[in-house]
Amino acid sequence: MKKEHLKENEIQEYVFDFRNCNYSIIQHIDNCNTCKKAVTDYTLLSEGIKTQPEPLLEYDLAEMVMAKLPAVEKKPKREYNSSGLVALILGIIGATIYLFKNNISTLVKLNDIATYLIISIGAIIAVLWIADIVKSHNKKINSIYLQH
Amino acid sequence: MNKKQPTDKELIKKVLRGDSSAFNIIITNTQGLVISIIYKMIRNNEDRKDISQEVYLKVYSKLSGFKYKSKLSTWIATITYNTCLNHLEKKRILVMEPINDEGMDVWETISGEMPDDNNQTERYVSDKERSEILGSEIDKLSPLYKTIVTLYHNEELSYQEIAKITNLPEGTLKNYLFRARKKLKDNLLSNYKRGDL
Repeated sequence: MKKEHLKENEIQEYVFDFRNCNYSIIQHIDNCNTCKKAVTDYTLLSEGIKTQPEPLLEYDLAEMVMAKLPAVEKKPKREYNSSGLVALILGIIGATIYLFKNNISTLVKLNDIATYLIISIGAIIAVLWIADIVKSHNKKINSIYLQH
Repeated sequence: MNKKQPTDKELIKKVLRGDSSAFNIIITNTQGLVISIIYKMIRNNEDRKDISQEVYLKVYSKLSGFKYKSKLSTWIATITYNTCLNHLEKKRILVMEPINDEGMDVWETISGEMPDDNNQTERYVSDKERSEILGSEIDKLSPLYKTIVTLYHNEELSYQEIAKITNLPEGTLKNYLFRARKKLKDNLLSNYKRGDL
């Protein structure tokens, strides 16, 4: 059994975390009035906190939120905008390929590794770029809907 | 006969299918917890009102991204806590006082002399007054301490759940709870007579 009085954390452990409490702490409290008093203080404190009145709302939160939901429900419009954006970007890429088709076909005819490497790197960059643009576009649209 | 309460999963599915009445049920089920956090973190009533709406609009727009890794209420509480944190940051309000010498007293030994005999208040204190005294002492704590004390003692959430909501490691959370309770106890005992409390 512990001879000296318990530490604050040990008292709290006894009150709030009894299952993990060391046996020597339990033994000490059983035999020490001073520490027992400290246990009572924390027990009363805990009971007091539990009986604190819950905040009362002077408004109907559900009703207020529900009234604002239609603004958020405009999501399909956002998806339409995203697909429009993707179509626009793909259109630009397609037009570029069409305009430079002669140069591109010459490059493809060269049939060496460097050419394929350049084309595949270009394609990867284009895909990542499109994804990034769509992502940031969606983010902005979302924040606009939330503000209204 | 009692109708079975819909589960979180069922409610979420319904909301995602466009059934907004299911979202109404989600609000009713979770607003107690949300309001508890907001009232402990934020002082201004208008801000509280705005933040409570902002939280549920965020929940609504992010619901499709909910991964079922926690209870829906815990996830909503996390959004609430983060929204309050952002608000406090914008207003430059500290979420907790810096820890200095206060850190040591958590480990201090219970002294033989309890601070109960040196007090002034001799009058009778009713239950209501006692509750008000405690309420005002809780109110003096920092927003973080107030919140974790409420989540643990009033909402009876586990350490794990509170750690998830506040994004604190469990050890740190336990430490903060120790400090908050000790501070409350010390403040009460130094300001009021033990018998009155």
